[in-house]
Amino acid sequence: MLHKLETEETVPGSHQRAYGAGRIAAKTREGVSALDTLYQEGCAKIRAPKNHGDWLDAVLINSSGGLTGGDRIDWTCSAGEGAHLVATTQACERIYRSIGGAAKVRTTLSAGPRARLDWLPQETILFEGARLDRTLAVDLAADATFLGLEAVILGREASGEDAVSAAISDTWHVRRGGHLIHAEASRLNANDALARANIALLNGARAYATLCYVADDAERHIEALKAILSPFETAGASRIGEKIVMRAAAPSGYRLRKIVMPAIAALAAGNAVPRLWTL
Amino acid sequence: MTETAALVRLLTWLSPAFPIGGFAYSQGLETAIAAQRITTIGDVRAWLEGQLHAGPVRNDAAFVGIAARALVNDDVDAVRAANALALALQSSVERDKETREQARSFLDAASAWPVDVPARLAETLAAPMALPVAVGAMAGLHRIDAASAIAGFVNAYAGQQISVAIRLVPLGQTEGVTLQAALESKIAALADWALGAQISDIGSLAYGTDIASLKHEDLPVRIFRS
Repeated sequence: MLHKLETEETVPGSHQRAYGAGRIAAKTREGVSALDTLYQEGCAKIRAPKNHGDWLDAVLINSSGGLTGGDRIDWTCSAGEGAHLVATTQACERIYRSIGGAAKVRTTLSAGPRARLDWLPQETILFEGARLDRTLAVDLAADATFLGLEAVILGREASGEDAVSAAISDTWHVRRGGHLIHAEASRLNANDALARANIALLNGARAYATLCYVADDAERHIEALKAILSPFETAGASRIGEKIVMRAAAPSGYRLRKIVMPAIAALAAGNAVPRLWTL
Repeated sequence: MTETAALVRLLTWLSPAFPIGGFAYSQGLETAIAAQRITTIGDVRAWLEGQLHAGPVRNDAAFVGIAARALVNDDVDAVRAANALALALQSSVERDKETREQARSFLDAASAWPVDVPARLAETLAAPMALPVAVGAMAGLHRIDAASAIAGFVNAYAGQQISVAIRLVPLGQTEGVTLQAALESKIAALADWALGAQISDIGSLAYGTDIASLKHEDLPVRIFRS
């Protein structure tokens, strides 16, 4: 059976731990989304490259090059009334072996009235011995739109590693109009061979992703998304009212991308897809 | 109420004959059988061992206990929070309907056993509920032992899954009971864990089950409703 992921630091740290906090907010100016505020501290950097659309792109960068036990990074992204913010990461986040405690990632997102926020980070790669404790808190106005993705790769593929000793706790709370509309509570313990192999659980997959779309127009998108996923035996999507949830599993990160990329394109607003997630 | 009377009540509530329609749902198992990923009794056993290890039933077992304990402590807010989380965790429309409709049928049927329901709790129970929270709440309200309620809930779940397998794999009745017997210690272990579980213990990683549930609504022919 699973046990609660140990997050307490069991080894007092003598080495320098990485800390970072990055915040970005978008607002509308003359009908176009523009940078409102930007704050960066420690290893968290944010770039807002120019694009040719009416949304604001945010590229999040962890300049420490990866996280290990005791490291912590906080991201906060918000789209003000009517604004559209598309956030991604510059690279896959690497979670290295921990010698005590979990690496913590705290992401807080919000979208105001008629705003849209896309949270499309690249995959998180768990190395052997990694421990990640991640939370995603999303607060949406009652008419705001959200597209969110978390993709995980278990081990460095080039090394043929399964990272069977890696552990992750990933918790999402998505509220719309103050109502808890979606939650994720995914837990994978270290050395849980049954969870990795079992047909009802990971079934041997080394990469998996969950995508969530919350919007007034969810009904208009579900059939196109199902059509994209139908060739894949290990991917599916369903709509519950204003929310769509998609899950996909694959033998490798590359095969997972083959499923996730067209799904993102189907749910994105026009061309507002980070270049890294386009085919 | 005597302990024996409480046990009788719980056995009635969790019996397959109790009118909540549990026989109509496969929780993704029909998809896995239709795709011929489950073809033998061994495959069914593996599927159920996975469920009891880290499938959605693990969270459901915890929710039964959380709701039952909360009501013994008159903590209606904890019941509400558990219910909101249990509903928000649903990823497929069929599973969402399954848990809500069964909760409603369960609460309607359980009203045959009159009990005083505090006003705030009555309001909560009238809103959309998740089945394990409804079962746990009624157990707590009727002072039925939480450990028994959790064990009974998980055991009934396993029995339902086995009845799906008997029909679709198909398996013989004897194979079905052999499987139920083989799973007994794992059912008990999950129930023991769930008795002490808190909201922070809620968690699973069941992509195989979840994807089978998501894809169930796309099956061209389906006998079960999830």
